[in-house]
Amino acid sequence: MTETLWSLFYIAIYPGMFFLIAYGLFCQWFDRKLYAQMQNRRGPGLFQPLADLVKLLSKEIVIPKNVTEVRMFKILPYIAIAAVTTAALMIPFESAGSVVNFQGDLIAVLYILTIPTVTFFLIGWSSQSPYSAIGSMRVLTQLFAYEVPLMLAMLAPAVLAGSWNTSDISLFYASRPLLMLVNVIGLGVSLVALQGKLERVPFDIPHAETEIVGGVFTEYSGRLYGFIKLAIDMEMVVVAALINAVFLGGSLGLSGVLGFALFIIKTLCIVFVLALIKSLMARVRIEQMLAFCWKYLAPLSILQIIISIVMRSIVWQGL
Amino acid sequence: MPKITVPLGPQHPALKEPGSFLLCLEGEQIVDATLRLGYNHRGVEKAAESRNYIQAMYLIERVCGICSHAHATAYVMNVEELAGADVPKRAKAIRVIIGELERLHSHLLWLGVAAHEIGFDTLFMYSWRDREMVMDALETISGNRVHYSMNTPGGVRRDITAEQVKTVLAKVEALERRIKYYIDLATQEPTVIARTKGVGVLPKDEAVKRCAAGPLARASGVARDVRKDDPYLLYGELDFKLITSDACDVFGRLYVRAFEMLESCKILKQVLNWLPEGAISVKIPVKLPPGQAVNRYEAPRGEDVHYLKSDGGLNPARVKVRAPTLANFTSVDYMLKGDQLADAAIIIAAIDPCFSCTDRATIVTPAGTGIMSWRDMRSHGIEFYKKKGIDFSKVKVF
Amino acid sequence: MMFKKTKEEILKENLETGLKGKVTDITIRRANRVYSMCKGEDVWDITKYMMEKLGFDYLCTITGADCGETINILYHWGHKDGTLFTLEAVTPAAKSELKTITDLIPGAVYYERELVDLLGVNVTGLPQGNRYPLPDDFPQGQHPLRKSWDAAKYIKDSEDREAAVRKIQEDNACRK
Repeated sequence: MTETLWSLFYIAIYPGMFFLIAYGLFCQWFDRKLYAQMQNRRGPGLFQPLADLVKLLSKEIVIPKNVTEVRMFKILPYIAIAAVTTAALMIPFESAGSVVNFQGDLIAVLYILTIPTVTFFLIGWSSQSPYSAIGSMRVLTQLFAYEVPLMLAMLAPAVLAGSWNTSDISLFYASRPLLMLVNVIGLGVSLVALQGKLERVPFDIPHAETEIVGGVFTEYSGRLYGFIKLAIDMEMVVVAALINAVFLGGSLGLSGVLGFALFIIKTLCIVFVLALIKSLMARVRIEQMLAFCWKYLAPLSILQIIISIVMRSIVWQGL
Repeated sequence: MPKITVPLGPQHPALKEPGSFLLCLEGEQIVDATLRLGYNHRGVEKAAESRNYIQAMYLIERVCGICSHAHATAYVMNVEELAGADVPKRAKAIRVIIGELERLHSHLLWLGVAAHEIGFDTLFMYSWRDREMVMDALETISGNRVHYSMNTPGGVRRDITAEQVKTVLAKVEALERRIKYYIDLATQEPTVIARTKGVGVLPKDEAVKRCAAGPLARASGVARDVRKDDPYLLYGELDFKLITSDACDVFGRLYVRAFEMLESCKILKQVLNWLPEGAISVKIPVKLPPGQAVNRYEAPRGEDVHYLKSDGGLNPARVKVRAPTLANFTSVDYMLKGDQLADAAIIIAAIDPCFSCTDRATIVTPAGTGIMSWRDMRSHGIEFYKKKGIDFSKVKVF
Repeated sequence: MMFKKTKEEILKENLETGLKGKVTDITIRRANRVYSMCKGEDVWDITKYMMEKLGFDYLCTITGADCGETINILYHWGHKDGTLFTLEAVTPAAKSELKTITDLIPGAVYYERELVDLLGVNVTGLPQGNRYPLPDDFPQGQHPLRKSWDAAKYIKDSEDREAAVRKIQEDNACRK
């Protein structure tokens, strides 16, 4: 009985839905505020993202007549949210341990985190509008560009730590902080690839508003659109937590309130870097993005893996 | 590969005004483009025929928000030519000042819009922040940010004081530093270069064949600038360079506009430091002798052509406005073909389209009340102000 | 004492000799402004000659003016040396017809469409395409820039039409 209650707590409150929504909205505000300040604007108030969400939730849902799979059209945003929440349960947040903990959960998280992207593709496909169709094509093309460098870069720390478990990896780096420096290239690659995953400038190609209006989300409205936005915000938190656990040593051995504070500070730093990249560049074209990812990011991530293997097998043989 | 037809407009986030571009896509590549204009046709030319020369000037000024001074000046130059008036030099100098400030304001606006089209919102916000300096300068001189209403047949309506000259000069100098920063930024930032180089190519011979005007022509290596070719106002006596580029693409258009802003600052400094003394306007008769005049004016977006025909009556017999966007529009479908969908927005933006000037001209009626004639409108205005305690019925209107 | 001829005078001479009287009433109004008249059917030939022999490459715009008996179409040509040459072609108002010059200078296409829409000039050989600048549902045979066009009548007609359409729509809605 207590176990069931605890599971419900994990899924619904922390680190599940409630925390992800609350912190996701906060991160959205933080990101928007930073972006605005960098552009010499005032930026939104603290509760603006919440107000946006509440407003969207209260709006009418309009489904275009030519959508054939209405049920799929309605259910897709929830699948995205579910996938993100599931991934969150496998990542350590404030302490070293995650809720669901098994050898190889790093791979599982990376796979589960592609589900939102695939739902976005399906969202565009089921919308039956030219803008969404082009948006979906771009989502898939972009997926193939950033996913490989991102995965490879994430695997490098695991190779060095000798474990496929996110908790083990974060504990490994927490006890040997200097070793984090080995993965600097991988960290850079993943931060850039993340801009593609989260569809932000310079890789916001799938919903470039001046070209294809709302991209895959063009036909969405009301509650459904609100949940899509929410899924993206939650994804940002989960991804930041994953970077924190894999590259930055997680909670550094702390737990409880201190560990939580450390987690917040570190994820906000990651959001800051993401906002900085966003404000510094123009949007690139899809074929430029492909070229960039395969020409620079992929070789760099392979280089990172080689460095990790060399460190692991030659320099750090004692481990 | 299956073809998709994507409508870009009449309502679209990339367009600030309605215009329709039906793009036929193969994957991401544009294979065909169908253009449709006319959503903003307001019938200004027809409406001008039922107004006298001064009223028509205010109407013509409202053809466009951004180049209001350009249209009004081109029209007024026609009126003055028909009346045979000798406009005082000081009035001409003031017109040049407003005209060049307007060019700065338009080009900075364009820079922001273009940056937004390629997803560079930071540059967009920065350039629009600095554009406020120009707007302030224009407000200092004319009291308005957009419709300056400085012109009147025979000269200008307001003089510039020595204090205003000082304020405007300081703003121009501050602006010049910012423009230099933008030039560095636009020519060095890799993503901007990646998005503009080799995009929307318009070779020189095509530009000539399609009668391109303004920065579009100059970026394709056609040295066409009315200020140099057919100098009007004081431009014959001023020292400035004609900026051209052989790049023939969007980057060239960016380059031309950026350096033109520096030239505008140079012109402004010359004129402001050397303002001729004297009257600011001469009187012009209400009725003009029969005849016709055609004048060109280098507006920020290219060449405005105005034609005026008088039959000796109170109202003009024919007013023709050719805005630069119409001249450049023929080139758009050529530039779109073969490029990527992602570039469509910046290609269209690169001619700095202004559909409301292009379409000009309708007769506005409040639904159901029919047309309000000029007389009705005036009596309505007199009634309106009587309630506020001002009596305008004594004011003589021809 | 010999005076050097101005560029406007040279242009006038070229037009007179080269086109053998097709261009009439050539007047030099001021520096850079030359005006002239011709017949509607000669426009294409004159344009070809001007572009090939006299170096005119820039058509500034085409203005159409309703002059009562006639509709005059004014071609404003810009030259590299700054001359603005206006060629005024006279066509009868009842049957105003012109041959397109878009095969010589493609940039003229929108100006010619404007003539078709606003003045009812029949421009033959104009390439296929959308109309400009009037909307697609604007009634055929109405040309707002003709002096005889009555705006008040047009507005009343279109309001009647809209009311009729609205009535049909409402009827249909009731039937459902």
